[in-house]
Amino acid sequence: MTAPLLDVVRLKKHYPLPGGMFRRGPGSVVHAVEDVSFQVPSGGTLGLIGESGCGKSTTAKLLLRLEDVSDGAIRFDGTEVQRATGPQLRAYRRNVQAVFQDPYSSLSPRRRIGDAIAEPLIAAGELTKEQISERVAELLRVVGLREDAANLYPHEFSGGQRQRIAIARGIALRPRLVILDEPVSALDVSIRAQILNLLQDLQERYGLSYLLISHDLDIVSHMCTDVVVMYLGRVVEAGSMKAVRRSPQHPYTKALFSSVLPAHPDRRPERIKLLGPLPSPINPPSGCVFRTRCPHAQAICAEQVPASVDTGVSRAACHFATPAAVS
Amino acid sequence: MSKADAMAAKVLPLMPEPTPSEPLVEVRDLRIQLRSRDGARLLNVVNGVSFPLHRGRTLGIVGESGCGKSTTALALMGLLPGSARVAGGQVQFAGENLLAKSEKEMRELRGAKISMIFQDPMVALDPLFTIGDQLAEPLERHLKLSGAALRERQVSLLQAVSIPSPETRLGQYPHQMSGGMLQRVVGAIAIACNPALLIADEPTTALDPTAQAQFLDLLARLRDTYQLALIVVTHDFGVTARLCDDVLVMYAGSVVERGPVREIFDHPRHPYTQALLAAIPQAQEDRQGRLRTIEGQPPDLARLPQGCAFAPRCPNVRPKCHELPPPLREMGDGHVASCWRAGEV
Ligand SMILES: Nc1ncnc2c1ncn2[C@@H]1O[C@H](COP(=O)(O)OP(=O)(O)O)[C@@H](O)[C@H]1O
Ligand SMILES: Nc1ncnc2c1ncn2[C@@H]1O[C@H](COP(=O)(O)OP(=O)(O)O)[C@@H](O)[C@H]1O
Ligand SMILES: [Mg+2]
Ligand SMILES: [Mg+2]
Repeated sequence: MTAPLLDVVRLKKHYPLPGGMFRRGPGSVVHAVEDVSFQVPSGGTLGLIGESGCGKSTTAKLLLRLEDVSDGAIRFDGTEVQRATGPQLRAYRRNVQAVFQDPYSSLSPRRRIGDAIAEPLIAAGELTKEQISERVAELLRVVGLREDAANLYPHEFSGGQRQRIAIARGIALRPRLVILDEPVSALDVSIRAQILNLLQDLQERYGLSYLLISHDLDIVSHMCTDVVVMYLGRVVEAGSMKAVRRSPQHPYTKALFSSVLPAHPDRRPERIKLLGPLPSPINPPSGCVFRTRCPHAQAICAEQVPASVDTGVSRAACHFATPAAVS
Repeated sequence: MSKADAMAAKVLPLMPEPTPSEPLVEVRDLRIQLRSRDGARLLNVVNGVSFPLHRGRTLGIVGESGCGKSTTALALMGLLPGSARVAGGQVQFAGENLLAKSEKEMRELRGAKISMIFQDPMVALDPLFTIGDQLAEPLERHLKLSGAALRERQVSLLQAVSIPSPETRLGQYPHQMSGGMLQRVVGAIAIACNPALLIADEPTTALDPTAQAQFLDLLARLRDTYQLALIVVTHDFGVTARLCDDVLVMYAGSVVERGPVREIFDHPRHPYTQALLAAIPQAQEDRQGRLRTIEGQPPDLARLPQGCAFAPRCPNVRPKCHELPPPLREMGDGHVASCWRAGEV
C-alpha cells in the first residue's frame, strides 16, 4: 500500500462564540470539527459526507489553511503543515487547491476569464508573460473551453462553463490534491455529468487526488474510492466507498444512505428515520454525539465516546459495532 | 390512517370534490413570451404546454434550467413577471380560465385555493416576523379567523406538518429553525386555507438528503389527506420517482414527453428524456464508468429552430427534424411524445 497523500490526525476546530446579546456564558464554543482523522489516498478520491452543519466545509477550510486549526495535525506527503508559514506554506498551497459550489462568487465579474486563470500563475512568479498566456490557453482546452474564452467575462458563460473555468484555475499550478466542495450542486443533471466526467479525466491525466464534499450520495458513490461520514463535527464511519455503501456499519450511515431517493418509482428501500432534532454543536451530547437520535442508544452511549472499531467493512465509531473476527 | 394522517385530517375539512373523471386543472397549449432582461429580445419561454391534473394526483415537471418550468408554474399562480406576455392557451381551474381573471380575482385565489412552495423557504418567510404571525396572515385574510379559532388552527397546521412543540414554535423567528423545518413551515402556510392545487417549485433542492426525504413524505401525506392536486417542479428524477403519478418533460419551452411515471422511466420515447435518465449517476454503476452527457446547449429562446428544438443536439436526428416541429403523438396509456421517430422501435 502506498503512503497516503494527506493524513489528517485528530483535527479540531472550535469557534469561540462572540459575547453580547446572545452570550451563553464564558468559554462557550462551536465544536465545528472534533477529533477528525482520515487519509486521502494518493490518486484516489475521498468523499466527505454528512448533513449540513456537520463540519465538512470547516474541515476543507482547515486543509486549505484558510482557517487555523485549534488542534491536531495535517500531514501532506509526510510533512506536517498545520502551522507551516512562509515558503513552506506557499509550497503547500500550490499543491492543495479548491473548487467550490458557486464559481460565480469566486470569479470577479469585471475580470476577463483569462486573467482570472492567470492570477495564480502570475502570483507564483515563475513564468514569463508569453508562457502564462500559453498555459492559460492550454488550461482552457484541457477543461473543454475554446481558447478565445480567455477574453470574455464570467456572465458570458453558463453555470457549467463557469465551473470549467474554476477547475482550470484550480489545476493551473499543477496541484496534487484538489478539494471539491459541492462542485456540481448548482448544475443540471446533464451538465453535472459533463463536469464529473471532466474531473475523472483530469484525475487520470494528472494523477490528481480529490477530496469531494457533496450531499448527493449517488455522486459520491460514483466518484469516490473512499468515504468519511461526519456527524456533528465527528467522524462516525470511514472506509472504502463500495463497502460502506453496500453495508454501512454505523446507525447514522445506515440512516443517511436509506434517505437516498432511487431513480425509479418501483425501488423503495426501507427508510430509517432519525429521532428528534439535530443537537447544537455548541452543546454536543455527551458520549456518542449521535445517541440522541440513534434508534439503538443505550446507557453506555451517554457515558463514553465510542472508539473507532475496525468492523472488517469499515471503521465505525459505535459502541455496538461488531469488530472484525481476527483471522 | 397513521397518527400523523389523522392529525392532519382533523385540521381541515375537505373541499367538495368535483366529479373524479374531471381534472381539476387543465392547461391547454399555454404560450408565454418574456422580454429578455436587457429588453432587447423576445424570448419564447413556454411554447404550447398542455396537461390535465386531477385531485389527489401529482404531476412532475422536469427539464434543464431555463426550459420554462418555473414560468409555467408562475402562470398558473397568476404571478408572471411584468415582462411576460401570455401569447396563447388556457389554464382551466375548477372550470374557469385563470388567464382571464383579473389581478384582484387571482389575489383571492392565491394562498387560498392555489398555493405555491418555492425552493428557498426564505422567499415565503419574513425574517422579522414570528412563525405564528406568518401563519396567521392567510388565515386572517382568506378565512377571517381570529382569537382562539386562529390560534387553534395555527397549532394544528404546525402539527399537520410534523413540527414538534408547535406552541413554542409559533413564537419563534425563522433564524431559530433549520432549513428542513422552515420548509415545513412554508408547507403549513401553503395548506393553511385548504387549497385544491399546490405547486412546489424545486421544494427540496436546498435540503439535505434526510430533510429532503422527510419533506417529500410530508408532501405525499398532505396530497393524500387533502386530495390535493400537486405539481412538483424539479430537475431531480429521484424526486419524480418518489412522488409523481405523471411526468412532463420540458425542453426549450415545449413538452417533449408526458406520461405515467413508470412509462417515462421504463420506456422513455424521446431522445432527450432518454439522455437525461442516462446522465444520472447510479449507485450500482461502476466507478470507472463514464456518465452519459448531452453535447451542446439548449437553443436561444429568441430564435428557436424551425423544426424540433432538440434536433441540434439529438443523436437520432433526421433531415425532417430540422424542417418541421414534431407534434405530440399518442404512444398509448396516456403517454405522449413529440419526436418524429418516437413510433420507431
Ligand atoms: N466562522 C464560524 N464561526 C462560528 N461557527 C461556525 C463558523 N463556521 C462554521 N461554523 C459552524 O460550524 C459548524 C460546521 O459548519 P460547516 O463546516 O460549514 O458544515 P457543513 O459544511 O458540513 O455544512 C456549523 O454549526 C456552523 O454553524
Ligand atoms: N423575469 C424574467 N425576465 C426575463 N427572462 C426571464 C425571466 N424569468 C425567466 N426568464 C428566462 O426564461 C427562461 C425560462 O425560465 P424559467 O421558467 O425560470 O426556467 P426553469 O424554471 O425551467 O429553470 C430562461 O431562459 C430564463 O432566463
Ligand atoms: Mg458546507
Ligand atoms: Mg425554475
